[in-house]
Amino acid sequence: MVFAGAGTVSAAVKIGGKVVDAANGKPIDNALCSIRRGKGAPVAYTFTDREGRFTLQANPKDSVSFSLIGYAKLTMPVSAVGTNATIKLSAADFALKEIVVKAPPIREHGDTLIYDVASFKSQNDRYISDVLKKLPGVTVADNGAISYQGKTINKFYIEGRDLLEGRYTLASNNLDVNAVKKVEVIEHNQHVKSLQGLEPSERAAINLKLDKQFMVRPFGEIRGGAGNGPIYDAGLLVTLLTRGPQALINLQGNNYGKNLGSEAADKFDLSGSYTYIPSYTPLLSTPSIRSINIPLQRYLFNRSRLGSVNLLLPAGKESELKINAIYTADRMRQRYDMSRSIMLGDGNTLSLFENAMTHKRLDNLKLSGIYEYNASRAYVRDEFGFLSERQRGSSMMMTQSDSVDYSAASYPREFYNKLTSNIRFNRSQLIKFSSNFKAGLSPERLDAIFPAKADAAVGERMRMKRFAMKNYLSTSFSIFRHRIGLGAYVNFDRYSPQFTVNSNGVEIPEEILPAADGVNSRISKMEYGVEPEIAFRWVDESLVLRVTPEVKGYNVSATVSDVHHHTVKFLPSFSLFYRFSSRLESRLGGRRSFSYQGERPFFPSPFMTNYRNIYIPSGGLNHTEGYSAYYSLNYRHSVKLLFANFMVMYANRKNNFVSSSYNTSDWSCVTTRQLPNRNYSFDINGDVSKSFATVKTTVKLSQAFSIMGADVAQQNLLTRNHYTNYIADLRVTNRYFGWLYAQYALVGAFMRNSSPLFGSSSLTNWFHTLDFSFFPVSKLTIDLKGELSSLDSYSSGHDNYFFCDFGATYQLKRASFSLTARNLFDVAHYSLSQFSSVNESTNTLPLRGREIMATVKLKF
Amino acid sequence: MNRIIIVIAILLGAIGGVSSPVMAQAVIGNGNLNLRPDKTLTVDTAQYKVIYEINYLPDTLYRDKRKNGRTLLLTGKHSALYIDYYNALKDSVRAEVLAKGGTYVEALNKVFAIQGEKFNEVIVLDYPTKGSSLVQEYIGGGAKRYIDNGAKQYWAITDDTENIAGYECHKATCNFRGRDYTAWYTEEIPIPRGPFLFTGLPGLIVKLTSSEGDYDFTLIGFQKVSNPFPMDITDNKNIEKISREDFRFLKTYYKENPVAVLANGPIKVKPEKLKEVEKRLDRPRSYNPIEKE
Repeated sequence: MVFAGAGTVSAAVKIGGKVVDAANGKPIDNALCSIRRGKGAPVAYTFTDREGRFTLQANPKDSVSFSLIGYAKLTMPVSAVGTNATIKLSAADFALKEIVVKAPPIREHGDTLIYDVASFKSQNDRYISDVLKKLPGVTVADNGAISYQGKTINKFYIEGRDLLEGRYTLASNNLDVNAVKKVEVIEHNQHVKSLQGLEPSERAAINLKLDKQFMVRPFGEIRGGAGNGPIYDAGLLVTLLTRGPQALINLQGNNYGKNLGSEAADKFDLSGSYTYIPSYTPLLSTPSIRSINIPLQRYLFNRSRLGSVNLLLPAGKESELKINAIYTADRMRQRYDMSRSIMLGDGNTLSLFENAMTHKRLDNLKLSGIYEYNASRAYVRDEFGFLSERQRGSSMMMTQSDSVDYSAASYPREFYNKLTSNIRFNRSQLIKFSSNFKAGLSPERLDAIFPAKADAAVGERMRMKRFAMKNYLSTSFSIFRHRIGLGAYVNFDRYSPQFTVNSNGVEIPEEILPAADGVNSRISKMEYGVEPEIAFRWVDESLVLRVTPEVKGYNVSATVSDVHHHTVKFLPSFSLFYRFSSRLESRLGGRRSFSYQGERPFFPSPFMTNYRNIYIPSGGLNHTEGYSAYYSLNYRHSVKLLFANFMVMYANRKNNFVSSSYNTSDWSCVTTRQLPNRNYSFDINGDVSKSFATVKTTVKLSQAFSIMGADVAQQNLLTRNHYTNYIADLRVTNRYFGWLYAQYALVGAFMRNSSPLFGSSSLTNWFHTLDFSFFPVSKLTIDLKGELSSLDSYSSGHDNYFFCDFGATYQLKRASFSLTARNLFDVAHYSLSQFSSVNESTNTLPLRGREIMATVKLKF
Repeated sequence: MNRIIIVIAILLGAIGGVSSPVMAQAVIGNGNLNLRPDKTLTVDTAQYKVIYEINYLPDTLYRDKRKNGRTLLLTGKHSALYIDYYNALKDSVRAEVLAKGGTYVEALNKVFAIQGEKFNEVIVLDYPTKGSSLVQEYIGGGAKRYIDNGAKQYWAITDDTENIAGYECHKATCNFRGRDYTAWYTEEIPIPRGPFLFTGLPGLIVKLTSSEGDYDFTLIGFQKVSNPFPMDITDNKNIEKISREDFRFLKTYYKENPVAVLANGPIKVKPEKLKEVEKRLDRPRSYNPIEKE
């Protein structure tokens, strides 16, 4: 039987014959006889029958080829075939591009991309974040936050369960890479089942699919290492990660420069939520570690500890209960010299100098309990918790005019409860209600003693009470395919600071720091509004236009300045989503915005925020209003392993205030002045990543460009500052050779500041990183890393800091032994003068020198 | 009994990348364990192995609940055999254990560890005659077989090309039994085969997707058989030979009336338990067959 050919043939002649094996003359079944006209697909084709016979219609000018796997392909002009030809095919053992059972690197199922971990993993990868960094389309920031196509993820699931919420780095930085089989990226992830199909999300989620043998038993690792210094590193991870109950316990400690406090930070971006209440930021700043432009681990002298317990228990098919607890303690110390020359605008230059020894302690405690019921008809989630972020710091310093013994502490604590719920009636009618509150207390203190001046001292004590609440209620339904909704909200935020400011023997000008004892104040902000929303959905939801004509009322009152203000604003917004194809989609949006700035202007008295900065509350009602617009494009091609995204944003804001600073050799006074001030910002961001499967190479390029302009006042002179920033980040990884893994990263950062009054300055820094990992045998990994920071220097063009690390790891069944040597060339000193922000500054501080550590790790 | 017997030379080793020196005679029995050797019928000699991952939607009411499976295509000189990969693997493993002198208990333990079988039909393409296919499946308590003479696709080849799984692929489309399909085939492998009943393109199908996305086949493995082995299927008098229409009716009937299996099936339920089992089984089953007509 002959299969039908495809294509059309003009001025056709009939050809036919028999295809036989050249060796024995036996007919060949299923041989392909195809008519070709240039390159590309055949214009017509057929297959031989069991007797090897074929017939075809063909143009005499075309060529015909005969092929079957196992035989050499034979091509000849159609004119040479005739109607009863005997075509002899010779057996040929041509090279087959065989592929053994192996999943493609990325598979695509609807909105879910499934990355095969084995396709991206190499022998030097230890934890799953090492592989996540290599996945095209996925970015992992220095703090562990994961983004997909330029946007941070909205959920991090392990086997479909969200055990850790925003503190997912506890898993991503610690889970053995061999336990994870697949990484799924769920685009437009809507976690709430009752909102699925009605409210798609713009963000994606990550879901780790584990190897089955890791889902049936607890697993983890224990490690311990020690080295010269002495330095140490210790860790214990115990996990049970099933599709049902899950648990993760993590204990860690080290003193080799890796802070663990960032693990406690919530990596989800919740700011878009109606009922998001940001945490309180302490007013008084504690002495801090100076950050410089080389990786933190090179200069941080620390002692860090972490303890975390996380439990998830399913309660029925659609409910779950979660308990999360994390405690981190970071102890840091730093000795530094800093000198700055500040141009004052009036032609004078102010020289400041600090020689300091700083100690800082950070203690974070986060406890939360979450109940979630997630069904297709209803959703209820309640989270209650307690947060505390205690900071204590002290600094002994010499300044240009005095010696200072300065210490400060803050201990903000807050209780919160977040309730989110909705009910879905029939297929499209929806009622949503959410209510959040936070109640917090923050005792803060600041003491500065100036020993050179007998008994001179400044002491501040403050207790800040804060209560904030946000409530949101909405209903929505469908008319034809379009959605119509109406939401209403009431938000309340109250600050009650209690102040004591004492100064003794310090000659602070009376107009800057009047003495004020035990003053109480209360600042209340209330917002309420209605928010109709119409979402037009066309072409199977490939085109969605959302229009939101929001009306919002504000009520601000402060007891100290006796401010009572009320205003109502019309704040429309729109967004237009268009999906060109399953690979390319775009978003266009714009909104008008209005907000009152902070509570600080209404504080009862001026106060020092560190040993020389004095904040002077203006008592004025500062507000910002303006509009912003954005356009974004997302492209992905999972077969070609190509991902790209691009976003452009413009914002124009009209402020009724200007930030104002006044510097003397003793003090920097900061306040706001009621002057019109038009700000703008323009941003272009984009990422492109592509994997080349045949050469096992991944290239990632991301860039961010921004320009901003704003009015500021310095030394009573008003000027306009312009800022231009550009950062480009290129990463290339290659694992073509089985015995070698190589990675090169280049980050270039350009900054430019200018103002008519002070002139302009620019700064360019380059950071190169080259990693090689060799695998001479399957159990041995040798890592070699070179890190070059080429930093713009005021005096000598660019100063280079080169760090070289070496590591060797030997794997013996479940145990691994490693030896690492960091900073092989013992670069122990950092000193750099830079001219930035039209001011010159010089920082000098010690670096961590050469360190050698031996580590033993046991997986179980 | 619906049994297909096939002799596989180190199926696991050759395809899974794990080398094994043992030549094993494996019994492919749709995952069932057969302690007695069945009568067999040799349809061809396997020359090449192709593995397709299958991702499909079993129930159109729950569009987010998709399933994954793995299927094996063995091609010979004249015919090709298309079966579930894990069923083949089970029988290969069992035969290997027995060949090494292991007991049935050892074989059972190893076989029970293998899971993931999804595709229960056994298809022999271009058999018994060129252009027709033999389809066999265990349904409703017994093995059924029919000869499918109309499984032919009329492909339209386009100029689109893509590199998939390292192969330069061309795009072709067709409508087959109620669904529109897009296939990507490669001329680098001149075998006119593909997953399921799909055949007749001038190269091996690397990817095949139905237009609504309900069925998706992706090539994940391709290898020449190092020691060609006979492709044998079970052939005994208990296999009921029926028409395609009857087969489709039975399959739908047992999906919609799972209780009916109790009457004809091999599982005998105690009369006192019958009501309880019937109650448990008596609910509509999802059914989104690849062939709609």
